Amino acid sequence: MTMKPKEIDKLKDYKYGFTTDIENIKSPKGLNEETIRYISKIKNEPNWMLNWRLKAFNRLKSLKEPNWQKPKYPKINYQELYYYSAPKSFKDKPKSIDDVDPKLIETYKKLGIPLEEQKRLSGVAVDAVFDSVSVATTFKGELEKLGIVFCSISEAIQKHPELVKKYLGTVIPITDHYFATLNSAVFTDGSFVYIPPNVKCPMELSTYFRINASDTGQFERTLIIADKGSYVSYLEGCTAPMRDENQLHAANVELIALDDAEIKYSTVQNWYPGDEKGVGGIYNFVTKRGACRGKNSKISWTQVETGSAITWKYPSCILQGDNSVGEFYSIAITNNHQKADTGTKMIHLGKNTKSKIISKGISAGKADNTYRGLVDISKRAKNSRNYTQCDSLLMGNKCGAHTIPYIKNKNSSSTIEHEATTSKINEEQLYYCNQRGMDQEEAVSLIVNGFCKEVLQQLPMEFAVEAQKLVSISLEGSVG
Amino acid sequence: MKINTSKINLNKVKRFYNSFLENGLPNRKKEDWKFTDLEKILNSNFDELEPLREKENYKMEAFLKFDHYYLISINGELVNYNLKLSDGSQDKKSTNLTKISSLNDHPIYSKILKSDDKKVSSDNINIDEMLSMNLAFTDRGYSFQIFKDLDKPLVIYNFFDEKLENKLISNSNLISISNSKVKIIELNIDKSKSNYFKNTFQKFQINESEVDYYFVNYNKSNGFNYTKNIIEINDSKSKFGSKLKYFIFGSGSKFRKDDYEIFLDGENSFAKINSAAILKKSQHHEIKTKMSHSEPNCESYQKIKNILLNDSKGIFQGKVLVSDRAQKTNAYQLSKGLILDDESEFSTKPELEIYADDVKCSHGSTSGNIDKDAVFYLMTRGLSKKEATKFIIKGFLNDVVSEIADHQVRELIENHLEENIKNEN
Amino acid sequence: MLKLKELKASIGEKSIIKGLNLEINPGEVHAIMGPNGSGKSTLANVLSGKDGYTVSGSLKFEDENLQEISIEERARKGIFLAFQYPLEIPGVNTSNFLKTSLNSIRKANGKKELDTISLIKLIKEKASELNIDEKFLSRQLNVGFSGGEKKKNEILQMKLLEPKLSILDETDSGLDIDALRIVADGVNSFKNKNNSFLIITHYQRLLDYIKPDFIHVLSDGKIVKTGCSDLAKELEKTGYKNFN
Repeated sequence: MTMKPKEIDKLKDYKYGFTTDIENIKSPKGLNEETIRYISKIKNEPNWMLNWRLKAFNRLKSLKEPNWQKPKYPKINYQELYYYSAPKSFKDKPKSIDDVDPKLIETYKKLGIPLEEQKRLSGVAVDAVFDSVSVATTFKGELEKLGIVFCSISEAIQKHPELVKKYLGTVIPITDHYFATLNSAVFTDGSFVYIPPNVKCPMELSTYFRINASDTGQFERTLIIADKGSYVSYLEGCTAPMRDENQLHAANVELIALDDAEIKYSTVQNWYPGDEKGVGGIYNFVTKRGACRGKNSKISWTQVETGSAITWKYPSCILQGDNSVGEFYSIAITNNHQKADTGTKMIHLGKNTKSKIISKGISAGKADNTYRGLVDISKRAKNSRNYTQCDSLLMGNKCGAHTIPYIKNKNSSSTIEHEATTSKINEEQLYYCNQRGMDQEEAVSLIVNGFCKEVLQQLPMEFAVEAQKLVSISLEGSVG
Repeated sequence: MKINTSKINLNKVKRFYNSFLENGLPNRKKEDWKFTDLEKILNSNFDELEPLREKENYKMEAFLKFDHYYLISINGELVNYNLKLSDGSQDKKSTNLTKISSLNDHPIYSKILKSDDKKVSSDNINIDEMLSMNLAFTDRGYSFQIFKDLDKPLVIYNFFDEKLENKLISNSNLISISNSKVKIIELNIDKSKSNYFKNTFQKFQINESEVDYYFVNYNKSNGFNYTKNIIEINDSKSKFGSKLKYFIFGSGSKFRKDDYEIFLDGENSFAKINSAAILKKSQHHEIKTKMSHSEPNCESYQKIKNILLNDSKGIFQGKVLVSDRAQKTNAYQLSKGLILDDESEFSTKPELEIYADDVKCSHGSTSGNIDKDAVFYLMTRGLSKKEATKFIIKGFLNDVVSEIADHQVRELIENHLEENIKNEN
Repeated sequence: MLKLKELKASIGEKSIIKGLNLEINPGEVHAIMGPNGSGKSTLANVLSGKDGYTVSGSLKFEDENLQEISIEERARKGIFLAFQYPLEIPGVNTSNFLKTSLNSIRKANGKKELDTISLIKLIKEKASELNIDEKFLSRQLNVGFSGGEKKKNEILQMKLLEPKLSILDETDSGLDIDALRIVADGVNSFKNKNNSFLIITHYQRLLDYIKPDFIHVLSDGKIVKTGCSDLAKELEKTGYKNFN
């Protein structure tokens, strides 16, 4: 579907740019042991969790921020950030949706999130994270009947410590790299999902992330476990208000699929990208990794990245189980001064493992867009396959599009195919659309959505429509 | 691994030597050496390297059967040549050859020697670890210029003799071709049978010319080779459109890393880098290219094909860089590895860095085993499995070989590859 | 409806149309025939407003100077070009394309935009007239279509958009006899006293099915002869050599 010009006009500016005027409780500024103890205490965490955090913090002291990525950013002063911020009314956690501050409900209404139970029609269970805390989870009861746990990670630490202990940090160890380790030390909230054996989760599970408070870093942690023979589709959406300063978002997401289980993880990331001059915007430095731990398991990542000043993430799959499958479908659109360095890693360890990577990068304005990826087929991953297709579109002459794949094949029974192209929009196609009465903007939107089709069709329906609009809006004004 | 410097005078080049000592050999922490850890490779093969200082002055014969001009070097030292043109002329207007015996003879190195700058950016040269090492020890090489069409191919014979055990050869060559159409064949003939490390720096300047260049490792060697090639394709008159076709047939050496930086600095220029290799017995070969498009309407093609078996490693790191000025660029890159056993590996990093929008750039990279259906098909037509496999390997490499325009050269290469395939099994 | 006076067009230094005069009135069918390289396709491109040509002379559509008007505005005013080589647009589904196109044009003409349901109904109706399988509506635009399917798709678009002037650029090329008949029927059923056609073709065979009121012979960028339908038969016999 395409946007009519008028609709685009309406949406032209970042429509999620409002702030919500809510009183917040914040941790003391700065990154130190005290802050970590504060976070752990306010969340009433057991001792093992605090010790886990402190271990990560100790490790952090010996780590340096990575510097190999293409987008460079000004030094972040970690001592000037708040690591915990929560709406004041949350001190006594709301028991039900009725206890939630009406202003918050209003915020989520503006964001179009069906928080209220009566909006069952949409059939999507939502967990919403506002700054540092989880606000409300819908459809909890129905999911519980099936034995599905869908709650905030804080709640899971209280109620399902055995699951958290068993799986947390097993895909992204606390020693991993700077931002992942930072997250392990100070993570505040996020979602937790456990699907018991042989249960197919009947609805999409969804988390909506929102950064509201200023000077606040958001460090959420998501852990999804699909037990044997289970299936879950999980959606994640993100927005933030417009602010002149850059805000840091360093999340960790861990997925674990056991034997014959499947996890489908979709993201529509629309953090505030900064203004036309490149002032403000979110630094989205996220570590997402899935382990196909069991045989015949499958993890599929789909992402539509249109927001953030800098996007820097590589949702990856570790294909440990024999016959496991990893997929990565990505659209990354950068406009104005946005920068994206994103891609995936497919690590083939088990036999007969398969991976597929479809990446579509679109660069406009003065933006810079990089696909970076690794395909590594180890010696014992016999009969494995990878197929990769990376396409980049350039719109205008002041932006950049880059493709940096690392490809390693270490056995003779495995096959890797990689293709990449970079070009601009085909002028003959534009001419054809123009001749059929479409103006330049409609034509570009139509062709670009076509270019992204393979990825868009991976998204669940509700998200796909939203994502198509985002694709059009993100490129608004970039056609010369 | 140490370098024994007891017998040599490092006075003038102290700063390069020191900078080499300070930085050490490159290892996998360096992005450019991610797949080839030179530090580790040299450390596990050498305890000590001694810079080669002996200069051979016996003559060697050109042996290729067809009519050609030639340059002959032994262990990197130029010993004899024949550049007398068929029309009898051999003056400064047609060709010019200088032997390099020290840094002072070297047009670029003498400049670097005089300047205090760490970097000599005007010549597209960046003094990294390997160049520091080269600058510290280079004592041989040649520099030649061609100003006129050559009616016959020029063959550069590089002989390596038996006296190279644990030696470090450092050499540097400059080749400058202007207003000419030439074919150059560079042949490495290695009789050393010993381990040595050769660190070569070469620069090519191609101006309003059409150059076909064939690099061939003629036989097996235990040599470890690193060569940095800077190739500038330029036009002083604008828009002539110089053309370079560069072929690499590197099978043979135990270790090679051939590093090419190609600068398409003239409008309408054309560059092609093609390579075909059969790697076996723990051979480790890397080809690294950086194709820099800085002017509009240029074309570049790269095609890398490797057959891998017996614990060999084939690596291709290829980058296409298109600056915002270089509109209407056409750049294509293809790397393919045929992995015949589980001890071998093929790694690639095909990279595109694009800043201009009106371009067509693409790359493809595949790796895997021989198509079993194809073998089956050939067997139903009466070939043995072995014959069928060979047939397919030949076809795989022929994709590169068939692009050699000159039939004499093509025959030479075909025989060379045939030899390599035959020794198989 | 269309008036061309001393129309000239060139690409760079190369001049292709060298002074062409033509007037098409409502309800008329004109055919332009000519050898390869005579400027037939250039004429179609220039009328549609394609970039890359330097155009001079007078080019009027319903007394409005077309030269100032962009490609899409011309389309919205009722000029339709059936492409010789219809473009493939990967990922874009055909019905979505048709919807976007039709609604752009309707909107520009102050008509109400059609919703998806009535649009699909309309498309299906037109498609069945052309013997087009409904399934093709959900396929990607022209991707993997045979030559004949692409050309039928062009005619479908014509019938859907209801242009005042339809320019058919070698629509007959690459069609087998059945497809040719379907295309011709499509045109004939759409033809009325208010709309006009400019049929560009190399061969006479399409003109067996669509009867033109006038036939023009284009050679070296100029109309060298104008006649009625007998002219096509004459050309078929003698070829274009007499006109060079």
